Amino acid sequence: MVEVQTENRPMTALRLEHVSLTAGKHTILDDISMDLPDGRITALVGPSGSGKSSLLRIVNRLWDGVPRVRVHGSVWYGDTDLYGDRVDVSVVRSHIGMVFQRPTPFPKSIFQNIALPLKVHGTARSEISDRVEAALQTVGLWDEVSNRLHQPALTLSGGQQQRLCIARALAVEPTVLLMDEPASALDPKSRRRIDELIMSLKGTVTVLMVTHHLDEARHISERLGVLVNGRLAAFGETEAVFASENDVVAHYLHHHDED
Amino acid sequence: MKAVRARWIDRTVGSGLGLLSLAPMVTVVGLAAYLVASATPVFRYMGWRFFTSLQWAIGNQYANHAVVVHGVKVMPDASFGALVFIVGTALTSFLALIAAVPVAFFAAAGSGYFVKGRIRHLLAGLVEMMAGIPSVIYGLWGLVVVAPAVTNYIGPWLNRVLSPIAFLSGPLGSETNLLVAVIVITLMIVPIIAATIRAVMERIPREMIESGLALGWTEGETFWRVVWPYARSAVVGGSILGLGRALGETMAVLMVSGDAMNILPQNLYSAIGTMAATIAGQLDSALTDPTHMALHALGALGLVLFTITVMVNLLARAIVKRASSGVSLAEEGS
Repeated sequence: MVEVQTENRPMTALRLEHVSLTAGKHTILDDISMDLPDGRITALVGPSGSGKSSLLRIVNRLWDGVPRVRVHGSVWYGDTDLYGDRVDVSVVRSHIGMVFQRPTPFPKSIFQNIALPLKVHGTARSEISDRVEAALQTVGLWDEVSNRLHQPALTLSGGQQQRLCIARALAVEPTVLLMDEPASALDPKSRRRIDELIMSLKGTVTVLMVTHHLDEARHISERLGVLVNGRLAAFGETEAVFASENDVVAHYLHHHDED
Repeated sequence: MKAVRARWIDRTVGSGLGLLSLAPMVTVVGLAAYLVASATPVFRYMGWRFFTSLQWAIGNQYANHAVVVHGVKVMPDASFGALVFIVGTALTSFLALIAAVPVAFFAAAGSGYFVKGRIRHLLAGLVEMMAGIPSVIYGLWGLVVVAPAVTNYIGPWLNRVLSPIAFLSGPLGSETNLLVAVIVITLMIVPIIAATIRAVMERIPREMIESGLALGWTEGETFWRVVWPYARSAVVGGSILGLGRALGETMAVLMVSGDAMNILPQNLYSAIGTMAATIAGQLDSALTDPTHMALHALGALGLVLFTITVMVNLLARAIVKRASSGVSLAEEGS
């Protein structure tokens, strides 16, 4: 699907402006600028070690408090620079959710995994049950777990746990969802389910997804960024990037061996 | 031909190693056998009074003959009652544990989670160093620094603050006493408890903690909800390991406990005696007994101590193993 680039330009949910990441004297990311269209899926690909996961963690300020690591530049969320003064990190993270490579269910029941974040978020007690059910429905887990909500989340399979983590992130209704290779630790069937789930989020959540599966990126995303050695070698509509004649980009996208 | 020789070497080395691996078991069984053999005549002489009598006396060494009681040869008026030492051991160990667990928890939470940067390594290193300091040095410091501090400052202050509670207040019986022993043992067992908790905490995948933070939780909230459920079981396991250490601590306790005999402690400031310290402290005296019963009696004390410590250590290892497997579950994602 080719994005129309004229008057119907989509709104930008998030804009990175000259973002760099340094650890001591070492530069991990150099001068990254990109904007994420609202409600769309943007994928970030690149060779291992290019800094994709590091870039993701900049958006929700997960580098805060890590010694010797510094973030330069600005991340604009609406007209607020997330790295400006007097920005409350907890508020940032309640608008920008994250799902990780390995499923990370808390050592609690399935129900509590979603109910607890909701409670902390300030959801009224009477609404929590409904919101938990809604979140589980969104990720397609409700039918599978509705009869055992109070069993430990660790009794679920890997794919189910990851969907639970996505449900947990979505339950607090973030506007942006960061995903760090969410399906890579799973079997192919689970991977496809997660991909379909992510695609179903179009229009409701802005997704920035890191992946090293190029076919997945091409299939799911509408915008694509190619990160090589800490620099953004290409960024734009997915099909346009795949058609790019730039040496570095073309080499990675077309002559790259996937595992 | 080389292959044949290699296999021969394998088999010989294998058998050798197999034999050597029996050594720990032989040692433990051997020790236990010695202790039981040592204790048997003592139990025959004292019966249940071994556990109930306050009297510990090796008998009249200047008597002309030994006497035979219950088939056992002892000096007249000998009595080997272990109650004082059993109570002393229990009191020092449990009080030290109660004090050490919160300290160790803070040390572990600080060095394993909250404190960042280079200070974290320093803090962790210092805690580990505490474990390496010889107990005799703790004892010396306890005697010269802690005991006077308790007498002159800590004791009076605690007396004022806790005065209605009988056991925790009252007159100072001895400058070396239960409280000083507890303080010293607490510091000695904090490292092992902290290390056990920290080991479990460090195995928690970083992404688990990031998941909490990513939900907008503060570091503290993330600690309680994500880290603590795993660390919690390590507290129990670590405590029991610490308890095992406290039960057997000899040198430092010998120097600061006051070497009490024949009297139970009235309050925190009474002198006490523990099984381990008494074995060491009474050894010289026991060697003067021509019937050797005094020596056997120390062995009987040793048997009680040995049994308790073995049970406590087995329990600790079982619990720590369960705590670690809980974290493995989290790592694999079931």
